[in-house]
Amino acid sequence: MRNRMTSLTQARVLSASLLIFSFQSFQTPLSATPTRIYSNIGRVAFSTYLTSYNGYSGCGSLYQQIPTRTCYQTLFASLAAQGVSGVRFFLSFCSTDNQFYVSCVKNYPNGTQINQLYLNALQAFFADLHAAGISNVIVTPSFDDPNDPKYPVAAQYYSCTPNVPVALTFFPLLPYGKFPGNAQGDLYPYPQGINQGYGCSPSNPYFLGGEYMTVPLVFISYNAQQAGVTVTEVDLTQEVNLHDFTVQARLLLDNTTSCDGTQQGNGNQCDIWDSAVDAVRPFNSPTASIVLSVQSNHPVDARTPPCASYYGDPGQHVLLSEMLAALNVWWIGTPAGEQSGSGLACGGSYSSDMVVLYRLFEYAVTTVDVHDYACFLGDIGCSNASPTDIFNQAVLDFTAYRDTLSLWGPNPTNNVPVAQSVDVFNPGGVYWDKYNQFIAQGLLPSLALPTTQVWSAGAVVGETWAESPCIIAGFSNGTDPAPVTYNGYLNSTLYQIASQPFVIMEPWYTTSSCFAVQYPWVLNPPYVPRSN
Amino acid sequence: MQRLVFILAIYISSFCAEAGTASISGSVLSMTNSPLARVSVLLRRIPKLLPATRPGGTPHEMAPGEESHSEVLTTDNSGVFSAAGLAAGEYYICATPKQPGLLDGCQWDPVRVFSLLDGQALSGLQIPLRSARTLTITVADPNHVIPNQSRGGILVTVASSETFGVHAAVSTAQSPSSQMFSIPIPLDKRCIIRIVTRGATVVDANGKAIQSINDVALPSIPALGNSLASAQPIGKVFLSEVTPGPSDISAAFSLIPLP
Repeated sequence: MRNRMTSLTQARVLSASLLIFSFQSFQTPLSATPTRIYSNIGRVAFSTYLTSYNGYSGCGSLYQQIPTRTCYQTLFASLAAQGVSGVRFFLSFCSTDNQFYVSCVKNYPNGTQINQLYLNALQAFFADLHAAGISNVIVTPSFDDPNDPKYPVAAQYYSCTPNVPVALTFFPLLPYGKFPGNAQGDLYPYPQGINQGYGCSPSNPYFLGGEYMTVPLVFISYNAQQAGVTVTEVDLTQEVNLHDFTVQARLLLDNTTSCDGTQQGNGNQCDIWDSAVDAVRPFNSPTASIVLSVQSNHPVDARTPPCASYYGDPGQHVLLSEMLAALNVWWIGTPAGEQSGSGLACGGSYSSDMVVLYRLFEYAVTTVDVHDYACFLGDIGCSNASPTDIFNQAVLDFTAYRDTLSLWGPNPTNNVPVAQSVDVFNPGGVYWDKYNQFIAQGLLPSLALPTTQVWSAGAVVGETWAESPCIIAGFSNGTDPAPVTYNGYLNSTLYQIASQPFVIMEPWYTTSSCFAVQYPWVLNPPYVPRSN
Repeated sequence: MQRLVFILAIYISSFCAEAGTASISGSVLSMTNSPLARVSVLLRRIPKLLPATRPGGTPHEMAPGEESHSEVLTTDNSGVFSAAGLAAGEYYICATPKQPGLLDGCQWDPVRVFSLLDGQALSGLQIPLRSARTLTITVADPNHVIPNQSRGGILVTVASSETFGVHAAVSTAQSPSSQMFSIPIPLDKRCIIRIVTRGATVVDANGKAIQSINDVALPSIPALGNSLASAQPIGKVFLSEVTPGPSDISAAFSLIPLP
């Protein structure tokens, strides 16, 4: 059974929840246009949204001239006028500018009461979106935001690393501690590289409980619905790496703390993933996606395929397999007996060659946004591959990708792999649009996954080139080759193939980071909805 | 319980893994301090990673000059293992016996990590292995309900109830034959058995489906309950419990199609 909200927060939320659940869920009609574009508006400062504060830096040239809300209203109107149909926004729940709870302090008077001002701002935000004609949002929360309260604990011995004292830092909404992972003191999940990390990492004494991670999603979804806005996606985690940090599986199933945070230790657990699904789905129909993203590193040498992994995938998708394994309550981590570096039987010492954004529907598994290019051992920057190498690698990767999903997905016909949307004019370069090549060379059907099945899950969603802040706007960042930087979405495969099903383009980088002039936020090149 | 005796180097972070001039040696022992031959010893270097590339993301990329390294050593007739040409850095080590009656240290024992300095010769590592009893679980699939997937259709894990649950043994099996899982488990710990299936329901020896906490009544494995891991037909998780004791233990399950 799904893990419903219980106890403490329930006492405060239940009256609202029952009311909420009495409303009929609805589904936003699919757009008639075959393409949609979502803009990432970055972090929203809810704490000042309804105040007269006029120093919001997100207003760019209007900085210190208009209140925060006016800034957003102007932005929304501008984006809507240019055909933007949805926005992604970042938020957190315990930061000074995003204070969903009064203080996020456990067992402190009023500490975890919900901040009414935050809710009011949330309602106004959604109302403004709807008034501007933008009806879809992607919610991207952070549970260990840099602005969240931090609780450093002096170095001590933990069972994960019994011989090494470790100084951990805890966050109120993260079920594990983080340690200084490099000389610069960047905080990484603790421990790294220990398979037993999921079990041996200490519980977070300051953790509010998994329920407190997902309750805000209920209010977000409810208030969005009330305003006529649909939460089409919640990006629950970003690039989880269960291979190196098995403790991150606690973001799916916390094995240390009861959902209400009152009990810790053996026997207490909270299905955070399920709770998140339950928090969003009632208000946004089954089309709402709870997104988990993973990096898919450890690629193989294109000339030495394929490599084996414990999970049965061909190696380059081991991180994806681990995520899927965690979701399926399977084994995570790399067991004893691995034969070579990176847990693979061959190759794979250079990482970050692919980014896989993995999307889950209730029963349909959809994948998008495979950033793929060939890279050889020691080839830092992956610049030595020939077009043939790249193409061969693409064949391997896509085949492996499909096979990996087939291992774990309930129905292979629901798997929708879609490739990156960049650089169709630069086949010999660093980046490569492999799906385009699959189509061009008629290779896809030969992979025993007919095109009609590829599209069976409905919409195709793509993060247009996550690594480049300016690809959607067609701006150069000064380092990328011209064919990459100037083609923008208009030349992306996703855009060009859009018809049935429709395509949603979700550029990752924020609007403000990409546009030449922040006010009035003019898309460049202009977005042109593709006609059939 | 006999404690691991480690000679440890001073913990030093290392961002350079090129040299490979360090070495280690040690032995794997039984609880009676007898050397254990032909035991696999996993040695794995933990590389330093670069910070996450996205705000809120997780590190995944190795730092420049870093390398991931793991190897499986084997003890000789004197129970001794050794490795040379190792880079400086932090290492994880554990031992997996081939002999019956011993517990897999990589699954059940506390984590062991140590650091190596460049050029250091670390000797005297001792890894004890504990005695085990055998849990035998038979899972029959008379109706061939498990799809013949490459990933297998049944996963059986056993986790210690006194830990947070990852110390487990793993077996997989495929349809159609009856599968027997022999898993060494601790003598002194309460364990939880977890059976994950795909496209099937687990029934006990009497043909009764294990559906809820009150449904299971196996003589030797009292029921602890079950939970639905994910909606049909992805799979189901079934839990049962083993109490501490010296004797080997066995249980049988069957699979039936989902309704």
